[in-house]
Amino acid sequence: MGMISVELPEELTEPVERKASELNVDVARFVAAIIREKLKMPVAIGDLEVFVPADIAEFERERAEGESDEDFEAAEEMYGALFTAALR
Amino acid sequence: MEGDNPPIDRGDFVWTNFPTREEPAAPSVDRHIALCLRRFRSADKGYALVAVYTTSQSRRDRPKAQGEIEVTAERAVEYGQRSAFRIDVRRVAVLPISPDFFPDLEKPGHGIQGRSAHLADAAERLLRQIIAQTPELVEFLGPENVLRSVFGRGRRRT
Repeated sequence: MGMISVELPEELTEPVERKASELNVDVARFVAAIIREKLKMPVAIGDLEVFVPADIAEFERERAEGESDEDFEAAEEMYGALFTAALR
Repeated sequence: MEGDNPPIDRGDFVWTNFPTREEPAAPSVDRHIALCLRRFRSADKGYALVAVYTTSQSRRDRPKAQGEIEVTAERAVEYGQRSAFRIDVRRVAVLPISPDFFPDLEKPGHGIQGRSAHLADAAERLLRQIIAQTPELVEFLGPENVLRSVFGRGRRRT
């Protein structure tokens, strides 16, 4: 983690803290996500480098041939969590 | 292609313009073979594919990393490739199915170099495993029920 101290305009302080709280992330992580989005940097999630279009939530996953309900649900959840993480 | 299933699907090794770190939302200018894992469909935006990166660069001097699947030269031929390569599931992209991201889409064969549902299964399993082992992914993000069912834990309370 690098350390940079910044002063935010007064009117931003409360919304930033509130939004970070809603997302259950600390403020530094939330600000980092905004910067990453603005700089068009890929999201690194642990060991993963993920490239996801912003409208991915509008797509539905197709069931693979012969895929069981259990496998379908598991994959659905995995990709859902991955995309959610990548977009924040 | 409107109304029809696109020609590229799960398990296909296909030529792509896989995005780069510098321009993660745009097709790159370089062609790269990717392995397609899953196809997604939108009501009004067509199709997209989740794909992972492959590399054929010589890695003899570097041991296989976690998140890589090594394919030998003998097996590589089955997938339309001339030399040994690695599938790197740590590099994941969702690519709209269009000529921008699939440069040979409109050509005969659609740029598909080979196919292996088995390797797509293996890559997806490995991806799931890596995500499960990466707690920083799940501490903050994702719906609670998803976190619990997929990763066996809820989000961290601060």
